[in-house]
Amino acid sequence: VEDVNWFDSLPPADTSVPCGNGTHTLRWEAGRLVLAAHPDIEAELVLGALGGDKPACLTLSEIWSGHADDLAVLTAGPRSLADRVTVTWDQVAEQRSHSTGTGPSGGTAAGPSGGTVRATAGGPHTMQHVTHVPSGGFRVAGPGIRPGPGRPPTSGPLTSGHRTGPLADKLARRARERFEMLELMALGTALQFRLSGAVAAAWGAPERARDRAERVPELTAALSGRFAPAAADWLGIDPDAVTITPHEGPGWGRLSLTGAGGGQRLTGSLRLSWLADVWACGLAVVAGHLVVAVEQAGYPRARVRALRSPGSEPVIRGLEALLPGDGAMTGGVDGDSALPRWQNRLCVRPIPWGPRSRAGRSYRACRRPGRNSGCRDGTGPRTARQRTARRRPARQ
Amino acid sequence: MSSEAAEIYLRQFAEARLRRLAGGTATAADCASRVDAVAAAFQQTDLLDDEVAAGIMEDFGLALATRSPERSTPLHRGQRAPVSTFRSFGGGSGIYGSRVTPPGRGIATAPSVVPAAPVTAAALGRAGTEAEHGEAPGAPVVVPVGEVLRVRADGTGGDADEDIYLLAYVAAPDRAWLTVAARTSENLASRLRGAPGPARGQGSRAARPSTFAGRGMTAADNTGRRYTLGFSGGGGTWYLGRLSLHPAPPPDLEWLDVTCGGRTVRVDLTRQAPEATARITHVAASRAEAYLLQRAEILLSHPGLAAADAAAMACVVPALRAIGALPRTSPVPGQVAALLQRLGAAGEEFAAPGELPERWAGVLAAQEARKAEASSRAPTAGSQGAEPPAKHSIAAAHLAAVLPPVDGVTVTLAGLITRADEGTTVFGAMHPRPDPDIRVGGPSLWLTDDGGWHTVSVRGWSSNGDGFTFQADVVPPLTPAVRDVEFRVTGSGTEIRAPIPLTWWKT
Repeated sequence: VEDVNWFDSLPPADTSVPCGNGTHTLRWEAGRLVLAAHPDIEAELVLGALGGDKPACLTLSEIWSGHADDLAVLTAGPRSLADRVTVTWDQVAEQRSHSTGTGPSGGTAAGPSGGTVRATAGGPHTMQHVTHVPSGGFRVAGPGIRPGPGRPPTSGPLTSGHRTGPLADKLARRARERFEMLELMALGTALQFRLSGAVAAAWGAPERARDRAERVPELTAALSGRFAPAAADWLGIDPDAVTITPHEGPGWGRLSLTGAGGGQRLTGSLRLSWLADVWACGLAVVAGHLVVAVEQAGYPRARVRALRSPGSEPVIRGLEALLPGDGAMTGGVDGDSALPRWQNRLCVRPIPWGPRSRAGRSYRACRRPGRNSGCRDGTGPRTARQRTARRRPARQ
Repeated sequence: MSSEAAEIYLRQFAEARLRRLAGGTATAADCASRVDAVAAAFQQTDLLDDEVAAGIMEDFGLALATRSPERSTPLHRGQRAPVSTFRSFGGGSGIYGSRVTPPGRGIATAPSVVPAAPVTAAALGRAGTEAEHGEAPGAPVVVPVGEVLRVRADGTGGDADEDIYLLAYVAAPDRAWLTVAARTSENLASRLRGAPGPARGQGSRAARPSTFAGRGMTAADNTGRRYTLGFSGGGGTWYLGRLSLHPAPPPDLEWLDVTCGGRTVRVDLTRQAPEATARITHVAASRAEAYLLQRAEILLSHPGLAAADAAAMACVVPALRAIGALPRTSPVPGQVAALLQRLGAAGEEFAAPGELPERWAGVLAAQEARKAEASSRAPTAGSQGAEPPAKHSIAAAHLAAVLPPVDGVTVTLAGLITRADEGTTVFGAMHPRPDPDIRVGGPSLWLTDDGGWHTVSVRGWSSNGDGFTFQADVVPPLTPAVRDVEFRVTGSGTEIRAPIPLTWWKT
């Protein structure tokens, strides 16, 4: 038995961020950000502690970690590929200069990832940076860390004037969170979906049922807001007539279509993890079927449970992603790849929801011939090349 | 109906607006306004916690900002389109930001109006005891004044040209003020920018002219104690508001000499307001109905807002219905729709127009009659036409009453003026604020006379301790021919009816 994660159905994705005097590539791969341009990050941290710059790539990584279970990501992030959330680094810089321009010397604001940024008498751009990084467990403390040119995230908007006290702290915290969210959205569509998936996966974990019960309105909006466009693709229904609540308990959930014509309503419930396993991986609607659960995550092959229509039983379907170079990615912004485009690999007989599938982030891997084969019997084509070869008769 | 249902609805509604933005069928400003309208309706009917609503709006603002091509900065959050005026009105009258209490007016099928035994007060100007009508402790005392200070260039006020009408004196336990309508040739705002007032520096006081615009008004009482008078209010040529006495005077003063620009008038503080009797009736309406009625009534005095409100109502009425706050059988949406239709602002349909309530129909009929009369008087080529009203003409009446509290809020009436070009304004105060967490608000105000119904709609207000003072438009306006009015103050489950004689001291 092998644990498989929700993000196994996603290929790596790259984005460019300003860092130091140049532009670095930040790569999302297997559920985490990889700082390819900083192979020896520990050494850079030591340098930073001695007065050097803290790499912007690292700060972004910390912000990412700090918001990896923040429901505000689902409020700000995309609902579908057609829902373009576009923030450029120029806009981030503009916002940062506006914020720091109004912030007074000596003002205080919470810094990235829950740390503290103190503006010193040297001016608003000279900061002592004390940051706790939950994921890394290290701490950087050094005087006079100065944002370099093109350095994206160092601080959120400072509080105005000489306000102090709980209200000022609260305002500063909110402003910082908004600014960080802006930076995260600037990472581009591909990473927006992946971060949304991470948040959904975190909140969809089986052990967080109590947390979910306390945040039903937000989770309902997060589910409905993302399911509705998919339902419109699937059934042609008005997305405003779709309401999905978080599903708890056994099974994938339920869907019910009522009314007719313009009075149609689609209601039901889905696991919150649907957002991670299905939606964030571009699997929501494939070949006219609505995917309600992932049986086996994988890229470029996955096996899912999908509905032909509301009220029907889900069927197991093997899916295969078109590979890069075949126009396979969709929803890219400025050349970024966002989500894979999936298509049917082969149809499999209906199988009722059974005990093999587990709620949460882990799945039992396929035991037939090779990992991620995408089908039960291993007879289907494994790659795009094999599939093409099967369709196209050999030249004489 | 629960706060969770309201929150779910609001978040779902925001999702729907985001889809429209993504689809290019709505602007960010339109989306922000409509969601804000629903949020405000939920907040002000106590269906949604203020902090939750604020958080949703903040997140939604960011979501809009990152999707809108019209932004100027990344966090512009979308300017409000002219859809919702539910939170504030022209930046001034925070009455829109109030929590509403269910009034009993405006519903065609009157809901259980039960006359109660009349409650009397010897004189409404000096509030009766708690046993008489249960007013909140610390209720103010109001004294009719009716004096004018005319400041001209021949005094010590420099080249000032001011007429300062002192309407009434109000004494609360910890403060006192005179309600005032002042015409001045100077722009008070530019004056304030240029000349620091008493609070900003004593040293510059000597350099200021002792005029209203120069904030140089002073007073002295019968014990020799001296006061400065600080103005709170607003206006242009006419400034309406209150002159607060600093320091707070002791109770039971006999008179007050008010000085401005070298002129002094003595204000007799021993005068009594005419006797009046207040009557309490019990009414009933849901909070959501009350909210819609309050909104609609504002349109009677500000019909220019109708188009914006029509769009907001189209969002708010379905929202209140969807979460069960507004009964499907309620006649109020139909009445509001009828009002909007009558005002020429029927846009997106949210209810079939019903029958206008008597009060609204009366006010609309009076307004239309006035318009017709005005147009018939308009001079035409070759005709003499009617004589135009004298420039800056004003009529003023004594109006001094402290009404029995409604929902714990005491309404004080402290003067009434009618200006030829601006209509009728009532001066008053409410204390304490209906909800200290949010701006201002309070019971709904109406008045009737022999000619029919008049709306009393708060136009400007200033914080005043735990309450606020206000100036309210009376629509249609009153003329000096009106000698008796009945004020209606409607709150949660009760309505106060207070017949008050009007004595016009300046016509």
